[in-house]
Amino acid sequence: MTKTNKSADPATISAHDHARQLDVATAWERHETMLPLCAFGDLGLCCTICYMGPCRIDPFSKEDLRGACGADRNTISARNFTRAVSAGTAAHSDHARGVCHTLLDTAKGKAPGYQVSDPVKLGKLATELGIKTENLSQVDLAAKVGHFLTDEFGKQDGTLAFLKRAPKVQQERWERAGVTPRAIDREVVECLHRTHEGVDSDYRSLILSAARCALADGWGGSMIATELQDVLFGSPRPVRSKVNLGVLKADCVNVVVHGHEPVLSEMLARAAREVEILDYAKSKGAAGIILAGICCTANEILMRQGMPVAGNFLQQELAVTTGAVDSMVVDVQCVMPGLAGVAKHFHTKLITTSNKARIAGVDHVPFEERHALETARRILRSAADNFCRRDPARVDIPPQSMDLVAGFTAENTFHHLGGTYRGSYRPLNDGIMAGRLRGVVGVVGCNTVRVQHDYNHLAIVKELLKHDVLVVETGCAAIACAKAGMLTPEAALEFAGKGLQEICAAVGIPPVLHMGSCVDNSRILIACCEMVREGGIGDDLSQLPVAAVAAEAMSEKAVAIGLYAVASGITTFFNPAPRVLGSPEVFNYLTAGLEKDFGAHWVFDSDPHKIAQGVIEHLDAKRAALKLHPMLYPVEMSRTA
Amino acid sequence: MRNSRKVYARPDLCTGCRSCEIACAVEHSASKELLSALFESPPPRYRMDVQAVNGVKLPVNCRHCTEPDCLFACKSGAISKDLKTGEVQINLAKCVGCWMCVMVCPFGAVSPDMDRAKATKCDLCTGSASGPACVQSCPTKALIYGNADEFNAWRQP
Amino acid sequence: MNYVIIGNSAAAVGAIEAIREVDTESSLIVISAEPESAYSRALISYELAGWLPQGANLELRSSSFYKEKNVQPMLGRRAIGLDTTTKVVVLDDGEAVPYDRLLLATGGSPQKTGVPGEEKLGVFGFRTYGDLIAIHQAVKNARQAVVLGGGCIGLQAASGLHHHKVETTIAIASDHPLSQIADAECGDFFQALFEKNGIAVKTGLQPVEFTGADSVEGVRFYDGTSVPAQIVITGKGVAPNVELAQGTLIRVDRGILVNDHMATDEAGIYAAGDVAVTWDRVACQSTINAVWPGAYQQGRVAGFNMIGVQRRYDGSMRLNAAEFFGVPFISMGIVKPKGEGYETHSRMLKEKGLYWKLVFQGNLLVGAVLMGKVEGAGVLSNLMRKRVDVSTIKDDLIAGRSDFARVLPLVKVQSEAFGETEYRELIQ
Repeated sequence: MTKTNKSADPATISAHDHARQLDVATAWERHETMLPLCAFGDLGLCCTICYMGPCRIDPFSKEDLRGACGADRNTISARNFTRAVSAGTAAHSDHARGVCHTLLDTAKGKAPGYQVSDPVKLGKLATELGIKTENLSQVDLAAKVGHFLTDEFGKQDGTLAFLKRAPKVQQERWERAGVTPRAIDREVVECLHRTHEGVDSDYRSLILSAARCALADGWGGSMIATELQDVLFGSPRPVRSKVNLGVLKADCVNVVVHGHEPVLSEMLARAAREVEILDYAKSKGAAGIILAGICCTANEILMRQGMPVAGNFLQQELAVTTGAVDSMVVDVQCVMPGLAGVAKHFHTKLITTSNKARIAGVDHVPFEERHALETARRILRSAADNFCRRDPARVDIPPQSMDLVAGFTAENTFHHLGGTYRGSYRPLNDGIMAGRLRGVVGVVGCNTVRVQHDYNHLAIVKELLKHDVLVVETGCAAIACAKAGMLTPEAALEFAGKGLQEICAAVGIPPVLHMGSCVDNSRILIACCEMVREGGIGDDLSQLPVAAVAAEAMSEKAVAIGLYAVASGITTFFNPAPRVLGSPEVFNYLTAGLEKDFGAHWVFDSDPHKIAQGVIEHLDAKRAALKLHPMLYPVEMSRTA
Repeated sequence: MRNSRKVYARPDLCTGCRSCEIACAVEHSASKELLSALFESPPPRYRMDVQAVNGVKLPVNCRHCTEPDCLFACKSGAISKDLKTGEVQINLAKCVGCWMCVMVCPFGAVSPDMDRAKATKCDLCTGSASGPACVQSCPTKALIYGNADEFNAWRQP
Repeated sequence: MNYVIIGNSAAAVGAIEAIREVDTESSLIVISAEPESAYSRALISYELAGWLPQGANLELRSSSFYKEKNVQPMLGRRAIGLDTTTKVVVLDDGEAVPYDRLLLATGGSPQKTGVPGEEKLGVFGFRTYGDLIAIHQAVKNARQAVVLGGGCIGLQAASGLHHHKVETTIAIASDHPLSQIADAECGDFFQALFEKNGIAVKTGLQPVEFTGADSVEGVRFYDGTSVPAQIVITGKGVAPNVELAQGTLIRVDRGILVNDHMATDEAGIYAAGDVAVTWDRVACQSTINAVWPGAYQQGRVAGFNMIGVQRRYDGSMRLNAAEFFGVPFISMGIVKPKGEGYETHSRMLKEKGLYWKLVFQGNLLVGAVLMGKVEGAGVLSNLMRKRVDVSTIKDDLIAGRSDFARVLPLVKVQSEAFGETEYRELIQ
């Protein structure tokens, strides 16, 4: 059998080869059976919105072709795009709603095991939201904050509270463009209404409504999720851990948590440290319990609990195919239904826990806050029972695991830069203004079988670091770079340009900062606001020498994130492009037309090296517009190789 | 001639998705790549036409006829039939776009490419190692590239 | 066995290719008065108008065609006599070429206009390579030209002259261009199109004199007007070259009469192409359909029968295709029906440059004109040629839907009309 070339990660290649030897099909094999991809769908020219259709527009026709209702290629692709954005917003925001409910339940005493872990943050939030804190118990304060933020989803008046975190100029831009989001649910619902048959057909109007919806994600749903998760589970602090499939241990009970919400995984992390659970595992012949994460659940328990990371999105099935996972516990988002089929080839017990996300034929252990810790214990015990059923002949754990430091936030990261006692963004802004740092770029997003796994993330980040760009990361992109060893302070020496090295050495941070899960992209927005507030590099986000990159995008959430980044003034490089390429008008509007309203636009390019080049040129253009000092150090050619 | 190969369709398997049309256009574009082909001017043309009548879907392309009317009608000498392979091909270097072939093809499988002033039809993706692009693209395997015997064996229930 | 073909165009090539599909050895001689190897006379208008692809020429087949097909070409040699008792063809230099099977593919010649001054320098027919070369010479010094005749050839000739920056006037006896093969509505569209592109079109005008001394200087018309011209092209139609048949048993009625094997009444002698009178399957009458596809197919049928492979010619039909200033035009069958029993449907969309017309006779489709958009014309021409009962799809056809899938149900029920393998393969 020839070696697979599906990944840039050696552990993934080896695990995938093992899976193929066992004749277990994973996402890559299933994807191959889907080829060639339907061009109408891929280009956004297939419309299934009404039941006169499905209609599709021939992309090569020079005629003004229209679907049955008269929708042209612009309307069809803009509606498809808008629906993707609303689904992405809905996913992040429904996650956030869950966190709100957990906080409320905690306040009401209905969620034993949960507590307010960061009361300082809770207090700050209350003050920011205009809630009087005097004479309020912590529980009452939690309830008030919880109610206030729960109202953000369904309130009938006003606009979202966290928008005020943005610079004034930014808020005025949104007002002018008519995209200031109101309630979160309302924006999602309105987009679904607008894209219903026979409602909005003007592609510009559709995309602006999508932008308003996306802003309700970034400055609403995602931001609420981040803030309240910090309140409940504690704000992250820099923490060392390990990453890649090699964190699984042949002699331990291996439990993998996968999905997005920390509400369950936090409890599992707690239970896994309990002596009686450990003893139970040992009674089954195991040396201990390894609780490792996949995807954003991994990021959540990594940055708060220092738990190891087994891998990113495309490694979820490969964790199972190591044959060493006794239980995989999943909740919502990015959980491939294909896991069920893969798990059948092994002893692995797959458990769904969210009532929103069930897989036919898979054991469902409903997770409820009131019994959270007990549920977590039960899951771990059953995993230990399952450990005995493991077939050693089928076990093949790739040896690779890498050290990393994670747990950076908008609040703590630049405290590092300023030193512990004078926390401030000044040093960051000064570094940029002096030309030591070219700028800050968020490299985020998923994996996709349409791109060699991890390759784009790594290629782009390497190039950016070399050019003295500080990289901040979330999600699967962060895990990709962690596996490649870029998330350690020592990595600066290997990967960073001279200016970036100086900063990293002075502060003791890695050149790539792990800022959390995909809802935590909101942390990057806040960091950008802080940079503006600190002064000297622009009055709104669009003037900052910053950019966003999602070069292995897969989900509708990624599209929503991309759009809220653009609508917040951050030019976004995205690949594969959302399904709009069949309409030159929509393509042009996204890649150029949005600049007028937001001072930022999308860039669609599939070549990671061109993306990196484009990002650098973009940062240089922003620097030039701000008349900043030229870069201090030339790019070392020796690093090009 | 019995062994001559061409693209055959099974209407009973065709869902009418028109993926074959797009694949054909892309294969006959300058870049041979979907996203680049989108921006080519003039746009590439497909030579496969999925037609639908009364619920029956029929992918129609050149039948590479035993007695090719298009060849008989071609007044520029651009159309020829290879007596060994049975392939009927248009030599674009000679085609003047007189539309005689368009006027006589019983299947409507030769179409006028007004942008390039050339007649176009299925060329069986000559030169492509993987064979006709339409066959490769069909998600329901409703197309095969083969000879009459292979086709008949394939369509037996 | 000696095979001899007189003529060297579509019908001759059709016969050569058919004969050599079966018999690669026997002697095969091609005699032609024109010195060129087989070329497409239909393309001389394209050449004049600069429409040939870069590097392309008028050759109908590659330069090695005669060699590959083991043919002995006798080009630039005119056949002037035919002795059917001794079975020889006599050439202009006295050489006698014996034959066992003979194909008369002698074609036609431009009809004389009968207008005084026709012999003057600068008055051309527009049919042969020789004509083309001469016109190329003439356009170098000419400022104005007149083209007589508004058929496809006339219009294409005018386009060619216009391409060479010669101020051109088309003079047409009837009241609109393409009067033989299209309605006034369609003809008028093309008249306007030509005028828009700088070519004058005068209708209802008969020439009475080609003026000038040795060289033509203008054309005087019946109404007393004159148009100055240093070039005059006459496109008045074609007369079949039947001279060789005279004095033999071969029956001639305007052209040479043949049976459905393309055989004449004289044993071993066949005729095909523009010289042959064939059965028009659409118009249901004997006629000369001087069109390219017919010529090739008749030659092919003749060729097979000459070597003893029985093939029937199922009849001809009128087929014209052309393009003027980017607007394609196809006319087939009976498009200007005379008499009772016809049903016509037509539609003109002038702004879009689209016109289409269908003519039915009972349940048969017998004529069609397509202008601007000609896709799928072949589906219609085959319904006509095969005399298919189209009653079940008539409404579709009238609505302008003629994709092949609409014909498929007919293929199933009228199997005698659709006997070819290619059709049988399409039905389960």
